[in-house]
Amino acid sequence: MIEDDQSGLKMAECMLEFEERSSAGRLNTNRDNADQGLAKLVLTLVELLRRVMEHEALRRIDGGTLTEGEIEEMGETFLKLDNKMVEMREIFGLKEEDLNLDLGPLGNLM
Amino acid sequence: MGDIANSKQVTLLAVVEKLLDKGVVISGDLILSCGNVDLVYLNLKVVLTSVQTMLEGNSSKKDVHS
Amino acid sequence: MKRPYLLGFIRNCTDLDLPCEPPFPTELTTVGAYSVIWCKSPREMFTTKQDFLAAMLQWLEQVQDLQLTVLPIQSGVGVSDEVHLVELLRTYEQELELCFDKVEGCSEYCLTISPKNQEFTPLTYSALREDVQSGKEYLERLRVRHQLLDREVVQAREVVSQFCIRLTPWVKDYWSEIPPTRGAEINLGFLVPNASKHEFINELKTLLDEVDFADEWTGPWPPFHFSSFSLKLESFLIRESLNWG
Repeated sequence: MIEDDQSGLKMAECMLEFEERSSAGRLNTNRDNADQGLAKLVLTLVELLRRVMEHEALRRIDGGTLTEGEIEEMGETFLKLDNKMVEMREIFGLKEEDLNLDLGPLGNLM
Repeated sequence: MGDIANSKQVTLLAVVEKLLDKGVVISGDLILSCGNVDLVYLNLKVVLTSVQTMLEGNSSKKDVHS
Repeated sequence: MKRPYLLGFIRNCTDLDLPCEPPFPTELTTVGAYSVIWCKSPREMFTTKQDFLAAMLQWLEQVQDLQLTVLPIQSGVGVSDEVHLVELLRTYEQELELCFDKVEGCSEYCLTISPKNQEFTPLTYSALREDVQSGKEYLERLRVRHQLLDREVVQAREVVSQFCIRLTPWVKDYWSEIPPTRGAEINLGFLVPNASKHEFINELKTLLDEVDFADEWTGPWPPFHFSSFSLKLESFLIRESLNWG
């Protein structure tokens, strides 16, 4: 699913272009971070999904139904995802703290 | 406010700003809009469910491989 | 064309009951027992968002002084035409009745608390990925991270519980929000019947003295967090960005 390829860069180009074209508008959410651009929104959502996937991965490992090979592969995939996130953040000049979701919304949802 | 806040540093304006985001809300965890036009509503709670939960719901405990 | 900007709902109210002084002229549209309070767009009345917020603060204070129970609407919400105000009231009559039955004669007090002197073990992803030898090891590090964060969430919930249990005798309902980031403040809202205001405040002050938190509380406010219904995305509802000037 996550490969070392140009897909991150291509996605970034798309988002930058979209942002430039919609100069009359802004992408808003109805939460506190109303003024952020598309990149922050998308990357925050990816972060959220990453947390949920990690949570589920650990649950599955605890469930004891996965092979060593599957576990190793999952771990490597998460590492690759992390590298991709670093790449994407750098393109948009966002820091890890900018996408911080440590305690929530999972804290409030789960 | 009438029954005064206890801290001198409280900026009531900041509180008002936060409060006005609540009140009776237009439903939606996420509304994507362009300018003032609302386009997409996304309810995050609806979307998040684990695959395992889904599979268990189908009364099958087998892992699905593709 | 008038595009009413919505401020709130009110029950059994006439024009005369509402604060009639500035900061801004409000209008009332009524269907049966329920009314919606509205005005014209803040952009026409104020130069900056700050000015608007100051005016809202003043209006909310007046509402409290007059002991009116207003159900405030989220800011930035309006309807495309005056005609839709009646439609709005008719559509949500049931919800309004349930809501007002609950909050009539009550006010909200808001509290933010944050534990002092918190030490955090760094749990950033960059720390997790450093010198990692295998996928499995990375997952184990992730596990530790999740456990530590889960524990912080549990601790925050315990704090909320402590406050709510203690203040229960004078509170009709409460609301809380765990912060999304570590070390940030916890937010609580208490729905307090106006008759119990003084006892509630006394108990709150006593409790805050006992615990070791940085705290701020404000009130009384209209019941912002206790409106138990949401407006669906009706076609006539419009949203105005509050970021101007």
